[in-house]
Order: sequence, then structure tokens, then C-alpha cells
Amino acid sequence: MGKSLIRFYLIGLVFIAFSIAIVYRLIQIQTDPFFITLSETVGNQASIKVKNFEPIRGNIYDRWGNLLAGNTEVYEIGVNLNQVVTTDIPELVIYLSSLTGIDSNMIRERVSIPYNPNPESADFAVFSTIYKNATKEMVAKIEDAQAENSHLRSISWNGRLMRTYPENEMGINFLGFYTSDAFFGVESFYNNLLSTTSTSQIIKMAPYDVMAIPEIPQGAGIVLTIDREIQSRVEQIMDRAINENGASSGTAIIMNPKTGELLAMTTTPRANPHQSTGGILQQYPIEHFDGSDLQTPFNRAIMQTYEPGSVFKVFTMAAALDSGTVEPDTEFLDTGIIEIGGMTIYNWDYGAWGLQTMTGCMQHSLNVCMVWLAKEMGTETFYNYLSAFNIGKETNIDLSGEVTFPFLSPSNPTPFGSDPNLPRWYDGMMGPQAFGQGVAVTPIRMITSASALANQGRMMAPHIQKAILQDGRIRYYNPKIVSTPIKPQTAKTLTDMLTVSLEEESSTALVNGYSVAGKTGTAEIPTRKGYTSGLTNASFVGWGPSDDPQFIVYIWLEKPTSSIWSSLVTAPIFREIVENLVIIMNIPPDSVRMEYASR
Amino acid sequence: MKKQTKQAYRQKPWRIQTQWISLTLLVVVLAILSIAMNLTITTKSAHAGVQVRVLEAEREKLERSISGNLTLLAQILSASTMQERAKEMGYVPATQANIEYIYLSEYVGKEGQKISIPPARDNAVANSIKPIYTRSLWDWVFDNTFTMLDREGK
Repeated sequence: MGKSLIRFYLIGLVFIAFSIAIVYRLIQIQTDPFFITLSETVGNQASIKVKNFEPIRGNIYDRWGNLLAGNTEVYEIGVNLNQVVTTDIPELVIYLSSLTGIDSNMIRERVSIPYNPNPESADFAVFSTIYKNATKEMVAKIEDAQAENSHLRSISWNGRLMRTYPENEMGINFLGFYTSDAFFGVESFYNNLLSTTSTSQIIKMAPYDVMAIPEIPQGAGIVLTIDREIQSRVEQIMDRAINENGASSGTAIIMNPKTGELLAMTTTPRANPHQSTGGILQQYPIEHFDGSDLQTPFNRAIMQTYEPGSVFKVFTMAAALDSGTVEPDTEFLDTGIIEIGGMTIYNWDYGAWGLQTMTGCMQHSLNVCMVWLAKEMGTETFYNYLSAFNIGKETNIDLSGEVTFPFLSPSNPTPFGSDPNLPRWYDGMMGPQAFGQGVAVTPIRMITSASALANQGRMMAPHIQKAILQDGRIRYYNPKIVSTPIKPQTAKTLTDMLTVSLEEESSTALVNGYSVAGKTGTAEIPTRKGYTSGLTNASFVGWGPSDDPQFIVYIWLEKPTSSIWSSLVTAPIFREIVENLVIIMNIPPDSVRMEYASR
Repeated sequence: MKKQTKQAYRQKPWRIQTQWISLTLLVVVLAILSIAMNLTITTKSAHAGVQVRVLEAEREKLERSISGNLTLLAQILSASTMQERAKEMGYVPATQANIEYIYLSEYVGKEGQKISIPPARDNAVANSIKPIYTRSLWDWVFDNTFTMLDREGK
């Protein structure tokens, strides 16, 4: 073997040994726990990314397809912290402060956060948000600025959708609002439908690493029963009425009595929904009344109970007629005073109205007559009928936050406990309850129960959802009957009585060309010391056209100061609302309808 | 014959070297072909992957944009804006005195706007990726070999 050959073999051996060493080291690195951890941490940071897939929140429409709640594209502006260089900071601060109007010290603090890409670290920071809800125009300005100034290169933005209400405050009381979460109304009640669950997924950065991207279905759309035109008009009328009458609040509900569909629902205050949660809730301040602090309800129509007063008489009269206790022409001699369970009851004017028919009792809103009716019916019959009208129960309307107040009755005498100082039912309570005092209800409860009188005795479930748009299909809501408290004939008789009583007193609620049935209600407001406030709640319930009711309207003005009487305060509001309703709903005058019906 | 071949190789040893070189070259060429094929497929996959991501981002952007434009349109056509516009154009709200009712036998009543319904998305189908898009070249060779052997009953 020659020397050169030996050298050749030696070189070969060196190479082999070197290769073995490399392979050994590679195996060592691959199996060493330290290197495994290092590889996973560093490797994952570069090769994977956690991405949130946010579903688009479903739209809310009125019954004609007008958008009431949708989404607007906005941008979250911030800086990529790994791109922030110390020399960039002064220019970044000046530019971002002038663009967003945010205090420069705050911006300096945010852009100076140290970059830390470890997601498990408490100081994890890769992106610092400077401004949320930026418009497209702002983003375009940044793009222009970045083209001219390299110090601004770390500014970045992410697009997202923000809940927007195209009609602003209109209908916000039943819509609720969505900021970081859903609050009140439709937004809260149907939150699970409007918003499907968002998903986070680890995305591999290697483009050839094919992976399934989650398909996040859009939130369902909801079509409401609300008519935007009616809602808008009613809000304008109510706002003006509250102002003119010096009322502390006003609520109005319009419903189709045949289906239970809400056509409009308004109350005050109505907040601008395009603010932060705190900003919106600030518009519903704490109210001080009778030594108590109460949060202003977001939607008084379903979230505030009150003693309705004489509008409640429609239930007493309905019960008396349906039970056969009286007929419309039954006569009653009103002496202006009646005693029940040790209580003495007077009429609203402390007067005696003499001989009256039942229609006259309703026309003059005689308390004494109502107490007499309740006594004639007997306790069991009277309360059985009120129970059939679901007084004291929730309507279960599809809106968040409905409240109820326990109805004091022989079957529920002490709902607050046995303490004698707490409200409880007693023998004489049937008297005031017959004319709407000593009973607290929400406006939605009142209109729902009264709708049975306008719908042949059938009480429909009140609802605001007309249809749900989901997965390429439309699912319509089927109207439901919740109770049939009275016979169809009774409903017709009472409607006729209330129509006649309005006409005979030449009420300001009358609408030219249309027959309408209605009843006013002026209720004293209870305090801890009794009915001592001197202020009233003025209400009105009415429906029409009397022969074929298409709408029922409920109005409540809280503590009007122009007059305490409902006949002067709410009756004209009813007329104005109905004058608009018949035009918007295309309801011809009675004479025209009769003429076409006879053809 | 066998003896003659052995004899021929003993007399010309370069023939053995040529044989080895040819064999080595064959292996090298096959390796290069495999690598080239692998690179081509990987490049195409990467290109397709990038396109998928670009399209996905574009879809997200379009969905946001459509939703935003729908709201913008609704803002422009909101009740208060339309009332203002009508007022500016000299219109006033109709009253009973302005209205004459005419009977039209074929009138179906007011019709609402067309609303787009959120589409159904079948997650099970959308999220399933065919194995052909995810398996490696080795998996492909391995699977096909077994498939072929199975077919031949071995």
C-alpha cells in the first residue's frame, strides 16, 4: 500500500468521523429537551398565527325591509411594536395625536410598550391599539402619510364591523343596543340568533401547508313587525306631546289586535346608540321619587309598572257583561258614593251622576258604578275574569327586560310577605281595583289584555319578530292565542259601548270619518303616605275601526303638568296618532269601506 | 457464455467502472428528477396556498364592505333623512282632506323591499380537504404502491 493511498484513506476516515460527529450532534439537538422547547417556541412564532374568525352580526329590519340595525366597516389603528424604532417615536406621537385627537402623552406611552412575542408571557405585546372605530378616510390619510414619511411605517390597522343604527335614536327602546355585548330589546333577546359564535384557529404561515379555514355562518337576520313610518310618526307626535304637556315621560304602543304584532313602540328617553355602553346608560339616570332611587327604565313600555286608573275599567265592564251581570242598557242610580270592605269610594269629581246606563258609566268614567259592578259580580267572578285577562302576569313579549308587579287578589294576598306594613290584599281592595287603582301593570300588559276586546275576545301573544332569515331560508312567526277571557259577542258589545261613549261626549279622541272605541284613564300616583303626590298618570286605550279593528293604541303620559286629566291630555294624542295611522295603513274612512263592502 | 463475459471484464476493467458510473448517474438523475418534481409540486402548492389566502382575505374584506355599504344606504334612506328631503322638495304630509280612495281589484297592497337572506354554510363539506391536497410525495408513493399490490392480489 503506497503512502498516497494511506493518506487517501486517512482523509476518508477524517471525513467519515466528521460526518458521524455532525449526525451525532444533529441527533443530540433533535432529542435534547432544551432544544425541543426552543424549537417549538421560536418555530411556532414564525410559522403559526392565531386568527379570530368573527361572524357578521345579523341585520334587523322593519316589516317592509328597511334596515334598523346593521354594521359599518371601521378600523382599529395601532402600531406593530416590532417595527417601532426609538427614532420614530417623536414623529409617530405627533402624527397619531393630530390624526386621532388623543392626548400625545397617552400615545407615547402606547407606542413605547416593549415588543414581546411570547403569547404565554404576562407582558405579551406585538400590537398596540391607538384608536378604535376609525373611518376609511382616516386609513386613507395614513396610507398617504406613510408613502411620504418612513417614520410612520409601523402604523397598522385591522378592519372590523361596528354595530350601527341607520335611524339613530328611532326605535332604540325596543331595538336595544350592541357595543361590546348586547343590551336590552331585540339585540339582547335574539342575541344568540343575531350573532353566531366566533372562532379562533391556529393558522400555519407556510403557504403550501394546506389547511381548512373555518366557515363561520353569518348571524341570522330578523324582520320585525314594526312599521318604520308609523314608528317615526308616533315618536314625533309623542315627543311634541310630552313637551307641550310638561310630562316627565311618555309611552305609546300600537299593535295589530288580530295578530299581536307590534307596529310601533316608543318611550322616553331614547338614547343615541352610537356611543360607548357607559355613554348610553348615562342617558338613563337615577330617578328620585318618594324617597327611592330608581334607574330610569330603558323601555318603560315593558320595564315600568304603574297604576293605570280608569282605562282598567274596560276589564271590569267586560267581566260584568260577559258574566251576564249587566247589559249595556242596565240602569244604575249613581249617588256618588259606595262602600266596600269598610272603604268609601267616590267618583273622580266627588259628584253624583244620577241614573245611568252602563254606557253612561263608561262615558262618565264613574268609579262608584265600577265598584257596584264588582260587588254585583262577586269576588270570585271578578278576580277570575282579571286572571283570564292575565293581569299581574308577564306578556312574554320577545324583548329583554319585561317586568311585572304582583297582582294582589284573594288567591295571592301576601306576595311580599306577611309583614302588615307591606302591601297585601284586603276585602276593600276590590273596590279601587275595579277602577284601576291598587293594581300595577306595564303598558304592554295593558294593551295586550285590552287587545282581546278588539279581537273578538281572543288575546294574541304580543310579539315583535315577524320572521327570521337564516341559512338561506325565511321562517315566519305564527301568531298565537294566549287567552280567550270573554266571548266574541261581549267584545263587540263593549266596543260598541266605548264607541258610543266617545261620540256622545264629543271626545277629543274622535277621528273624522272613522268610528273608534276608546277609554281614558287618569290615575293618582301612590306614595308611601298614600295618594298624596297631586300628580297623575294619564292613559288612553283605543282601537278602530270599531266594526273591524285594525289597530289598538295605548298611550301613557307620566305626570303631565298642563292638565291632570287624561281626556284633555292623551285623548288628542290618540286622535293625532290615529289620523296618521289610517293614512299610513291605507285604511279608508268608514263610508268608503261600507260602500266597497256592499258592492 | 458466462465465462466469456467474465473474461471480457477481466481484460477491460474500465467496463466495470463504466457500469458503476452509469449506475451512479442513474441514481443521481432519478434523485434530481424526484427533487425537481417535489419542488414543482411544492411551488404549485405554495402558489395555490397564497392565492387561497389572498382570496380569503378579499372575501372577508368584501363581506365587511357589503355589510357597511348596506348600512350606509340605509342611513341615506333613513326616515328622518327622507322626510328632510321631501320637505326640501316642497312635499307636505298628506291629510284626510288630500286623499281620495279608489278601488283597484288587482292591487295587492304595499310591497316591501327585497332582503338578502344569509346563506347556508355547510361546515362539514366546506371544512373537509381531500387527502390529495395534504399528503406528502412519500405518502403518495406509499399509498399507490399498496393500492397497486392490493389490485394484483399480493
